[in-house]
Amino acid sequence: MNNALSSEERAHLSDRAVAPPKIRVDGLAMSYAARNAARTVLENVHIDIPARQFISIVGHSGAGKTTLLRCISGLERSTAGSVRFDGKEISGPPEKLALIFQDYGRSLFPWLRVLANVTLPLRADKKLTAKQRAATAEAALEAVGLSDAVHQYPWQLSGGMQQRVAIARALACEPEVLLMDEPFASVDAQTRSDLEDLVLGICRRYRMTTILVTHDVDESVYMSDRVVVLGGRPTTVAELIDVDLPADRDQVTTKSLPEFIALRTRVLQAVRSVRRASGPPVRDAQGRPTASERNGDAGA
Amino acid sequence: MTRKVSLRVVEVGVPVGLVALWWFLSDTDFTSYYFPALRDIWASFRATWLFARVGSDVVPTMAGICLGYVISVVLGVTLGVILGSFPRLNEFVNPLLEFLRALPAIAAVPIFIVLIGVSLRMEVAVVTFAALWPILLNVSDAVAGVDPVVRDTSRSYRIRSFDRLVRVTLPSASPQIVAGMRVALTQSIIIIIVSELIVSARGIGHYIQTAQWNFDITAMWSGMILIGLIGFVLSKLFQVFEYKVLAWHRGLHGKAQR
Amino acid sequence: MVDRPEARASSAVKVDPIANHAAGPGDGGGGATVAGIASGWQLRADSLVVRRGALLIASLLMWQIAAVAIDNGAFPTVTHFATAVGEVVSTPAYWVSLGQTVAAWAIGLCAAVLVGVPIGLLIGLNAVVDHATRVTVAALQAIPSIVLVPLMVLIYGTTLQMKIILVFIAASWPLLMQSSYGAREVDHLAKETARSYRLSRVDQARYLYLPSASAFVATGLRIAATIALLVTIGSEIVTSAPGIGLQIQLGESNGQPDRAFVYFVTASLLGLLIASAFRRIERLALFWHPAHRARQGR
Repeated sequence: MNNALSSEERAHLSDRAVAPPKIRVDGLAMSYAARNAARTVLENVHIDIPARQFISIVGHSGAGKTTLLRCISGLERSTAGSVRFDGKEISGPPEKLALIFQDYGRSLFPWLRVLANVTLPLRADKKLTAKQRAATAEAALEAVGLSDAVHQYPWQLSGGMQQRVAIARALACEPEVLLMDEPFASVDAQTRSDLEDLVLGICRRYRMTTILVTHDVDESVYMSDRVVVLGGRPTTVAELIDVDLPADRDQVTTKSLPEFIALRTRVLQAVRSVRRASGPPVRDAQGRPTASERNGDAGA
Repeated sequence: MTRKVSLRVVEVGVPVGLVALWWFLSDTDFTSYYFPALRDIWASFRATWLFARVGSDVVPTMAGICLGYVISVVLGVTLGVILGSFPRLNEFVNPLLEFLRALPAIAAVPIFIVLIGVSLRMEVAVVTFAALWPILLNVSDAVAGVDPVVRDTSRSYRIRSFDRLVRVTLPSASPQIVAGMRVALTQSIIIIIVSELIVSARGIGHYIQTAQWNFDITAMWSGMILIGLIGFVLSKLFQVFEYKVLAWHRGLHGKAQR
Repeated sequence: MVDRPEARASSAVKVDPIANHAAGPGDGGGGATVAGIASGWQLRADSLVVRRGALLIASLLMWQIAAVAIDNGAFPTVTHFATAVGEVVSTPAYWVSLGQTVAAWAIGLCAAVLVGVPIGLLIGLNAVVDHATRVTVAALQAIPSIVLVPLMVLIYGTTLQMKIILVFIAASWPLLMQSSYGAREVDHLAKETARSYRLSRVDQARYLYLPSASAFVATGLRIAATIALLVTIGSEIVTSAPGIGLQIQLGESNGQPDRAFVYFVTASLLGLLIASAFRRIERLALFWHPAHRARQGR
């Protein structure tokens, strides 16, 4: 099953209503001006993400993954197309959305202790008292296993712990959508697997719709329900790959399944082939590859 | 004795030795007219500043320094935040500010004297004029240069404007703001003394000037030492302030490479 | 005299066609020509020269308004100032005063370099000397040199010599401090490399210590040059020693604010000139040592 679910198939599933997808990226394009010439980074990006789905976005360096994520998060305005949440177009960082940055050292505020860092976004909610804010923050920190670090400064913690604080900060806002920009790139491999499982558990437990940008192909397959491969020049959606693995992911067993290996190979090939391709591949309205694409031009 | 201990001995011993040397030398015939006996200076110091002329001279000088400094901090931070937050305005006004910063504030003192007249107001105005620029320019620079990741995080989490200013922007800018405040402090002290030396009715500078007219060398020295002490105490106080406010900054950069 | 960080490089700007700017009345409605003129105007309005020019005009206007409003003889109107400039600058007395100030500044600064830099280097290189002088240097440096002016006047009178000595005392400290940092802060790795290649002492001094120290000395020189000017002019104002400062003081007290202002602006321009010239020298020395940028905050 290479294709994204069609709308009819989606409607038949019990816990999904026939409603607009949680996130819809519609014809998104992004251009920058550089010395009187416009440079198009992203073009014609279409992605539908149903609620509670976990998708990964992969692509070679410089493809524009971060740009795409920033547009989806509302931090940047695209030059064309739109991003819709629950059907409504966003015009800035929307509520109920949390973004986790790669550079936790700079994203966590070094002049605030861990607890203060996690409670700070909660201050925007005027309905919460200070006590409630602290309680929410402490619960979030407990969910990531950092109850002991509450009164320390972020820079006193290890890299993995700092990223967990960032996750707790996102969690405390009770977001419906979680965006992550290469969150584990600056962390060592062992900590990385722990964090992957932590995030997976949290996204499941709190029923979040998640987008993970990563350059790690294994991670993209391991974590998600679907992998979006970006590529081409200008960048667009090159391929959409469904991850048909059992829902219970485990670092050792899942990664040794033949299906996993097949999927990661597919993703890797997609990334590589698209890097070599000269122009954007042809897509239909739902982002499914056309027959000719599927049948072998990918190796060009 | 270990090397460290002997170094410490030298560090403490030499200045103590020098002072002792001055003290004992001045009792002999080695004194010159312009470098009087330390004993006499101490006597003059004790008679004047502990605590006879504190009210009449120390208080006005300190008032000038503190008022001028506080006003320049408040004004500098406020204007700096405004300028830093509106880059186009900042770009437009920047050349003028750089010019004003490069002005020798000392040279403006005679103008201020005629402008406002000899009074505490004039001294405060001059101090503010001198101390404002280092703070203002540092603040605007720091506010404009807030780490983009910090900015993105604040926007993404929809942190309210007031919280953003007080809990994000200002703390992030604080290392540079404090650096500007330190320069402004030295400037304040220098300017007030200069203006008191030129024309004044009271103040430590005025006291020194009067002593000079009367050829009272010991009085001059006691005044000069007092100013040195005041400068020293104020900078120590500032160091304590800096230590507290920038504790996180020290911790952060102490752990530079993990 | 704190440095500001180098200007940050701006990131790529989004496509924002000039016509999209919130333009004047001609936008959108009128014909192609109006929109063309409007967008052309916008294009020029964004240029640096126009902005600077507008700033200058705005400043001069504010000055004029302030001078007219505060009509108490403290500073002149723009027009009076302009005429005074012509009158004053054409007299030899102007250039004599300028020379007196610059002479004291230059000689005192040179003396400070000749004394402050070697002592600073020695302090940085030798731990014993460092510890011996630490407290004394810290204490003496805390005294603002302007405080010594009355004493200096008594000893030397209102002469060039007095000014030179004062400048020398004031400017030595930053040079001494910076030189000591320069000697101390030679990169540890570079030192090890030099040792492992068995460089002679002379070569070490030449290739290792001198370049590193020169970067710090250049910063110290910039700071010292600015302080030297302030002290020169300050002493002239306080003691009525001949020079620019005296002329400012005389002008103001004799009810000739336009004269005073000419000298005041001269002092400012001098300050700007010195600051930018020494900043350029510093940047040249810094060019070799990117690591030194971290020290800018001192």
